[in-house]
Amino acid sequence: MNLNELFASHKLIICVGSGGVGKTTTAAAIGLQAAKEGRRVMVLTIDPARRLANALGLQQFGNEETRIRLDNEVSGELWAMMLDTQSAFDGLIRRVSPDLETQDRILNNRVYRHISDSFGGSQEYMATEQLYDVVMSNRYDLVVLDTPPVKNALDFLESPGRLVQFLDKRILSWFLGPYEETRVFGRLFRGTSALVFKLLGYIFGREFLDELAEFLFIFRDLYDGFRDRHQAVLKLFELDTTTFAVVCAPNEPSVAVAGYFLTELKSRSMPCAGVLMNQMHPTLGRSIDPSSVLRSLSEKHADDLDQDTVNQFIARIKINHRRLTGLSMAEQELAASLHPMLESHQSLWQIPRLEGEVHDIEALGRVFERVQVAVPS
Amino acid sequence: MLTGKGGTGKTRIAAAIGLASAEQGRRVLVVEVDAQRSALAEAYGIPLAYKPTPVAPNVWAANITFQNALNDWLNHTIRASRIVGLILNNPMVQVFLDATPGAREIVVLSRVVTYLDEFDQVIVDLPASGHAVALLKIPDTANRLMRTGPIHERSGEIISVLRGPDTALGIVALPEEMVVNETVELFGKLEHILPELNVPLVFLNRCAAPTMTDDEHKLLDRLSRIPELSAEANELLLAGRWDAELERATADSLGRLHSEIGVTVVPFPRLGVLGGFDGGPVRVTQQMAGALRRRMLTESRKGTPA
Repeated sequence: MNLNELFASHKLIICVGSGGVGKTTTAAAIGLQAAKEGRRVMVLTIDPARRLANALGLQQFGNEETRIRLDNEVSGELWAMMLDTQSAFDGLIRRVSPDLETQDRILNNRVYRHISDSFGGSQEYMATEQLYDVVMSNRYDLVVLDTPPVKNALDFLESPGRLVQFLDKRILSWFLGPYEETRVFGRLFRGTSALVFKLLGYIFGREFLDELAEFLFIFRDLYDGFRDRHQAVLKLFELDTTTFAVVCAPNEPSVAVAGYFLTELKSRSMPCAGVLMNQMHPTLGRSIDPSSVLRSLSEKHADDLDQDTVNQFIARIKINHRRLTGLSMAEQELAASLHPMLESHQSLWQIPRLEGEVHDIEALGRVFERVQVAVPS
Repeated sequence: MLTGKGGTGKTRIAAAIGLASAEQGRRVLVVEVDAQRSALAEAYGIPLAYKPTPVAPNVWAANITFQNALNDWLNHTIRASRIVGLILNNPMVQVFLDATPGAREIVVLSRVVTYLDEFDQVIVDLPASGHAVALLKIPDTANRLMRTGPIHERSGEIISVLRGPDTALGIVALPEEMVVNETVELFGKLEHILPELNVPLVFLNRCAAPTMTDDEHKLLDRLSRIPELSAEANELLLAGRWDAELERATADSLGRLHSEIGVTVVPFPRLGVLGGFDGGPVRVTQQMAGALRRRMLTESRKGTPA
């Protein structure tokens, strides 16, 4: 599949990969390319938005849908937005709360404020929340999601599960059992409940458990809302028009992470188009003698320069080029090491590194200029 | 503790610091915190586990995984193995530990801190910047959220270690504009969330010392402007430009880190063709330790602390 086919046949592309591999730039470049094909595109990123703003040549943008100014001849539209965890969390509570009173009690609960701020993986979870809204709004032909470089690979797929698991009715009613009627500690603690409660007290301290119970007590009516929402979000990932794209750079740690993503996505039956390998250094693949190719040319242009310059220059270029070809060969080996992991419908796109850093639209437009596609044999 | 943007090589640098520091006569433990894939094992070329494994003379390495740390924690806090067994086997308790903010992290960090009693020095390979900031915020959050009990106490201990004079955090960066931007940002964030934390060093990985003369730059520039050169000539000039670019970026980054955050910058040279892959990861770790050793030697001659 070439990249344009990939962009044209999907409505949601999720870029995953380790940090520092150019994932944000890739997401922005996908957005721009699709806009040039006439589509209305939204690129979503998670804090820090500066990276995406950088790639788009902007100073910054916030958590509002912002249209990126493009050349007049571009028929599509490019939009960008930052996902804001806290406001997404609050928004979710508002959506699933049955009434204003419940909503306010939750939003003002101390445990809630901490959980929404530092809940493991809450960023990733909230990303899927907002993603859902943006996709379902039908305002865009294509949505590109730039995920954070998560340590625990696909946290953002799992976290809703964890949160929902925590709010599972059986667990809630077990935990809240003692609180339901009299809210008198100890009175109703008997049997397993009492024992486990005591065990939890060893770890968390009793006072915290009380506060947590209070929080869950208010939360208990929200479980159905959460579960429905979570299932709707998960359905989004199962659509034919959704795909994951693994982004990596040609170095060992990043390629190892890419392999890990391929395996993980497969084991979760998530659709994945393949791997985009960024920052490649393609070469002609043969040794070139700088002296015969460049010496006479160099002499012609070095009249006013120090007389040793040409010799030094030729010697240096020889070293530089040896380094470049060695680098290129090692990169090709790394790319080849991913081939056995690809399935027949997946591709490996090799994206040459651009000179200079990409932080304007013009440079962004050149990212996919000389892409090479490899499909598994 | 070491952190930095993903892909900067912080694990390799943590591994190298472990080797170089042990050569100064310390018993050193290098740890990863709850890593799903152990990158430290690759750096040392030795499989690692929860229990410290010797990787070199006076150097041990370990991956502090949550379940094992929890086991240790419970045995230490409760001392009644029957109860510990009940806790570890109770699915309800596991759900709580998974879902309660910060519980996992406190248990893991607490284990890291207790190793300070067994080793002269503990080197912690923290997660990448954003996650490291979140992780370092947790002891304070947990301490305020749980106002009594073991988590409260242990998070208090962790906070005092983080604030203490014997703790330092180093940031690993690369000579690239975006990476330097993030390093400056991270420095500011750390100052905000943990003002007492000592952040004395930035390690600048994959540097190229400036060796090109101005005249060579001029010549490279002139030749690069000539239209329609052969493919061979273009490739040679491109090779020259990549390296010239790295020299320039190294100088720029060193300058910016000095002027914008004013910490000491320890440069690591780019190694081999791939910036560090020939000879395999273990060789890279050794070469990096060598670079540190040379720097410490120079510093001790000058009388400045290593």
